[in-house]
Amino acid sequence: MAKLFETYEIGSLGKQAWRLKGYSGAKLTEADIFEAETWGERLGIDYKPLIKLLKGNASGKRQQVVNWSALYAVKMFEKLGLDYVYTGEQWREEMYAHVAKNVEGFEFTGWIKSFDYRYYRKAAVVGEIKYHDPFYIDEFEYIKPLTEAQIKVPITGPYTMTDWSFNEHYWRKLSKVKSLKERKSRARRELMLDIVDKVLRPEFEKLITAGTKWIQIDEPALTTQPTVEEMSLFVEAWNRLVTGFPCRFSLHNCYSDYGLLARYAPDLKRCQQLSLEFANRDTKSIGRKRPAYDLIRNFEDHGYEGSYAPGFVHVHTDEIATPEVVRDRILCVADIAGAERVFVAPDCGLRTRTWEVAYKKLDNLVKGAELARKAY
Amino acid sequence: MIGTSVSGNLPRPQELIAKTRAYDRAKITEEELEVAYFEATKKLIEGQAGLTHVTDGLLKWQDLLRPFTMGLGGVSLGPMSRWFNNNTFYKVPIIEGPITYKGSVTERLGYRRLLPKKATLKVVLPAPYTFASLADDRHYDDTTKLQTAYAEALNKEMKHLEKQGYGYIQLSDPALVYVATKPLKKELKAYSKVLEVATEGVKSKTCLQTFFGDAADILPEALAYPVSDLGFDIYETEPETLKRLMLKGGISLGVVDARNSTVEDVGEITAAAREILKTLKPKDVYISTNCDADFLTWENAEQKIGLIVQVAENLKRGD
Repeated sequence: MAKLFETYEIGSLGKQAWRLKGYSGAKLTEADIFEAETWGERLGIDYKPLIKLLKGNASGKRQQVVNWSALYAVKMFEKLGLDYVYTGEQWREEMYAHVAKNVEGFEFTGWIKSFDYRYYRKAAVVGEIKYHDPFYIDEFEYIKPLTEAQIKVPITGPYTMTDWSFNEHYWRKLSKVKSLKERKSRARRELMLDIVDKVLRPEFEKLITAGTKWIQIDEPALTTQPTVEEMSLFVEAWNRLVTGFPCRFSLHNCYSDYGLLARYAPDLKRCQQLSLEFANRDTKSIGRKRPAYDLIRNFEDHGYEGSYAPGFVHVHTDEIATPEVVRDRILCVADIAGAERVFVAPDCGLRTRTWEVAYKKLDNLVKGAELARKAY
Repeated sequence: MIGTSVSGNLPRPQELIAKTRAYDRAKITEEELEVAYFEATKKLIEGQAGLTHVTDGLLKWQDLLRPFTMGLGGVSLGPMSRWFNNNTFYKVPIIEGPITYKGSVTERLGYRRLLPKKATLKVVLPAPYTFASLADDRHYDDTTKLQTAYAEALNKEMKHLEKQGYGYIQLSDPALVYVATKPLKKELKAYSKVLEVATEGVKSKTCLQTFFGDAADILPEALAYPVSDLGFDIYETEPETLKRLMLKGGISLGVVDARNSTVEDVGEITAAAREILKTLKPKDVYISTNCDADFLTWENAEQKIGLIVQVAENLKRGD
């Protein structure tokens, strides 16, 4: 019998100060070096070459710092006993910016308000989308020989890339369409499908040829536009993206309208797993009756047949859920969907937490999964 | 008349963004941040020089609802939630008790003294339907009651602003047309009474500005609403919907897209506006952005303001 309740982290981890400063060229403090040493020690890594690198000015230092940081992330996941590992997205500036800066046609416009005093760098699509060099493959090829664990590669999906970008080029291209509403909608569709055909499918081809067995498609923007047209467009883009590839695909979507997503999930071809965000909506009490997870029934009622990683640990607070709470969340979902269809992951990537907090959260996640296995 | 304005707040310029981030990281003081706000507001007001209706940019407003969320009695600050279909967020007002007005909620956030004497001063406030739709009501348990209680407070704020010299008050009402929040047809008539409460005794001109959704579903009922003007997002509402309207007041045409960085072709936008106006007989026409402009960078918003001015000039000349 296959192992029940396999565990993984969604994608991102925070970047430690030595990674950020080592990359940008800023001066490292003793505390930064100490952090690199402490975590190296803790994860069983021979970190002395890293310290030498951080203190020196070797050529190619930036990329080497990134490599080290990815190694730290992988070793953290391994030490915790996660079943699937990756780089904690240490190679990437951020999930959206990483793609936008590597694909021709995107141009950053500046900082745009997200909320209060938080901003994000938004790009405009100013020309035809063109794919030159792969931007996920180096990360995969670097990390593959460094781990015995199974690998899951998270990538940013076409819906989110479209939704988070200004669409100038495709808007201009459709100047003959008189209705501004229709023009906007058609421009959006053309951009999204170009990202699928011209960027992501060629990248998938390379990733899969290099040995990737599982690609997680991250679509945080999904359900932002809650209309039939938009959801149908997402389904079209998804199906076009995954068709023909011998690989496992899963969808990650968080802070979203799951009532809406549930209606469309069965139409997603080869979407073998949904990783969602439910811990954020749950209480901290013990027990298998957990109303927050009831929405999983919606997916079941609409006929979704894949597995679930519904989010068993909240990522936006420092509070650490106990293994017992994690266990009960898992068992609650197992009661709804069947134990063999439950995977165990946090709500989202842990990039907003310190490594210390991320470590503790993941540790309890793994321990909770173990307790749940014992209950079967 | 053909007026010109931005339908909402303006973006923080990049230098102000840098200062707010520094403040957030405790690297500059509140006084230093205040200087940055002051300078940025001056810059934005200068940037609106060609418009007939000018705001102070509402730079200090963390979201459209926030001054009311923070300033009204009975309301507290809730969790973060998505701002309609955008990659931006607001904090949910939690209605914990009866809403009470304790004095102006916007004054301390504004820069009235910097606004020019020649232009009409404009301010943008959340309309009752949108405020109530986005709130977490733990007190009234009745949407109309909540809308009305908020409208009473809003009315006091509007009268206060009127005294301050604001001649044009935009009530932003995206929830009224947004696909996931729009009302049932039968609720549209009741909303007219709520707006009566909000606008009662207000002499400044008022505009109910809709955006982020197709206004077809609120028509023709919205034509009877007690406001001077109605505003529409032309990127969501088909011109055909508007051409047949029997307007009793003015119309604000959101023909410049504030959710796309593309600076539209002036001829094309002029033609789109003219097409709608061909069969309409509005008292006044306003050329504007379709929604708030803080989805753009300031440099980009400034270009869009220039476009608004050009479109209005073309319409006046009959080009």
